[in-house]
Amino acid sequence: MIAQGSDMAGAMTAAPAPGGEPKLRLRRWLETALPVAPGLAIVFAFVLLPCLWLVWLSLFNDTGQISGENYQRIAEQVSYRRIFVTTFSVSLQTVLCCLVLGVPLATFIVSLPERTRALFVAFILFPLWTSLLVRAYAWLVILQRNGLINSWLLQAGLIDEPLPLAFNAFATVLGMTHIMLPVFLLPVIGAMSGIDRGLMRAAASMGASRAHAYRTVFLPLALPGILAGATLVFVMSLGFYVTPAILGGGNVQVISMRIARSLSTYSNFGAAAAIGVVLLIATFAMLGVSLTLRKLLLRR
Amino acid sequence: MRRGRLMAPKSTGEIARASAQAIEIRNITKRYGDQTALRRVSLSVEPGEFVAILGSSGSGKSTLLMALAGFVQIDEGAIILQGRDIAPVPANARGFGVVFQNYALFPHMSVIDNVMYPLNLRGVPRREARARAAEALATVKLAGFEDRRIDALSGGQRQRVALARAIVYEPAVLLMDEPLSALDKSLREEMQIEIRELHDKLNITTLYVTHDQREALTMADRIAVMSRGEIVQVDTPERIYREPSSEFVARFLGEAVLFARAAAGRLLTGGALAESPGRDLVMLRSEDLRLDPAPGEACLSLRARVHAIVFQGDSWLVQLDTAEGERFCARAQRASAARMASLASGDEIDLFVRAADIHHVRADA
Repeated sequence: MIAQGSDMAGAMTAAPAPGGEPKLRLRRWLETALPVAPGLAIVFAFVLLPCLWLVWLSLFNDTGQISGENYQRIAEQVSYRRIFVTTFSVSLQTVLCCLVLGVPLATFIVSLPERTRALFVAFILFPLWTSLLVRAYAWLVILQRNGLINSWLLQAGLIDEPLPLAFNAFATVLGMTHIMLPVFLLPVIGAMSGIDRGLMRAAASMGASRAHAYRTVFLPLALPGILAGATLVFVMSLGFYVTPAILGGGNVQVISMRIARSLSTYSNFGAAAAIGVVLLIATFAMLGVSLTLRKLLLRR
Repeated sequence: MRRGRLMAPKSTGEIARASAQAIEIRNITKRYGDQTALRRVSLSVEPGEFVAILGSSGSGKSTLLMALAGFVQIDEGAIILQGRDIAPVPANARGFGVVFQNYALFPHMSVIDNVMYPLNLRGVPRREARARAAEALATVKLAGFEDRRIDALSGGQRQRVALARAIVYEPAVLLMDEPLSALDKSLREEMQIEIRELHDKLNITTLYVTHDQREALTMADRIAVMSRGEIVQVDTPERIYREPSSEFVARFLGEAVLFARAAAGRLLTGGALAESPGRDLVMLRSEDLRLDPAPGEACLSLRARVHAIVFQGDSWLVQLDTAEGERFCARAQRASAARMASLASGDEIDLFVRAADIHHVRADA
């Protein structure tokens, strides 16, 4: 009854507006538009404009003429396809590693008392302050042919030949997981700490074991955070350069390397821009997949 | 023990009734560091009985309920169910129904999925589980809400879903932790009667924690009053209100006028006070003090000076001072406005109390 009344009141005040004075409408429009204008201007100048410029650049070949040559090359050359496949595969593996390591770790951290939890979150954030380069080389020290792991294993007599740990996809994924794990953990911890602990009690009161309550109550409620973390990790992984370059040792070719080579070796802005555009579209496609997944999983 | 005044007519096809279980709490003690939350608490509840655990915050009432539910590990004592001590049994193996203060409904599930959750855990086939859950929802008057989302429900509706979820698997014992405290007053009073009716229909042993004395009086067969981790009195609502054993209970429920035994002997005239060894306070209920003697009944009178008269809607509150300077209150429920207007601050008047309304209670230490 009350809702109906207010709806009617709303309809009555709103009714004269469409046919009403244009001055009033303009004022209303300005009242909503003006406060958001600075934000929109920044988004336009620093996000939309560069993107459009990138698309514009990608339409010129190396002689400065408009053509679809850059895209044609990406579509036709096998080397490009392989690079895209490698990039997506390495990113996906990084996401999987983050899921496998990050979900249990986040569960553990949110189960801690408030103060200890803050300490652990600080520990997680700590690596974010160190340089990517330093961390990549640190992994090299550990993984390379005569690195820490191989020399230990050789000394222990467990292996006769050093294991090929560095300069491959394994080392790349390892290094990227190390860097991306904090990025994954933050939204997941955020989502998990928002879950009412009383729900787990309620599940237990009805007879659920801890594992069952975790699976049927805790995880589904943490899912939005987990999906957000995974999407973030995936999208950021697509653009990695330093880690694959050092830990992949030339055996892992990713998109960012090809872009760098187009620019530094061939000074071909068009070609580099085209790869960038394709990557951007692929990223949006992934976001779309993630959003759809979220909708599907959260419905029911 | 059962009063049956809220007994609902038994209808057919409702969630039918698991045999109610007796539960006996023996000397439970729970300490947190050097704080004792529960001190040798004992209480035995008969099958199908509705017991309210009443106390203010910090009295240990919620700790007691959580100990019964299995979420608080007790340090000493036993909880006997069907001749077995269930104190070491984990919460998820006790098989009790629990209704939590904040409802604790699963926000990612629909109403029916929430109610089906305990049935799914018990391996009830999906079709049967759905039917039973729908039946439980109908029992709490929520038929037609099956596919709603939890966040689309009002507080009262959530409360009903929580109730349906706790009774759908026919638990031997139902534990409720202030389930109505988040609701507004009129809805709360409506739900009190509904829950009591539901209890009578399902014949389910119920322990109900509340800080609201009126709620406890309305709903329970017996009330256990708790203070500082101890149960200070267990009795029927009538007896606990009329004949509190201690000063604490007398003050906690209703309005009490308390005089020391010796002072009461001097102040109350027209009859002798009964002897009651060990109970050195005399207690009257404010509403039992009358402006006129009750015809045909033995009354004692009390001379006092009027301090203030306040109209409070359902009654007049009169503040008075005894000849010895003690302030107390009388409540006149059926006095006419003219009668009350004839009283003025400073008047010396005689109040009457039936001898049967005078009780003796133990003074608090």
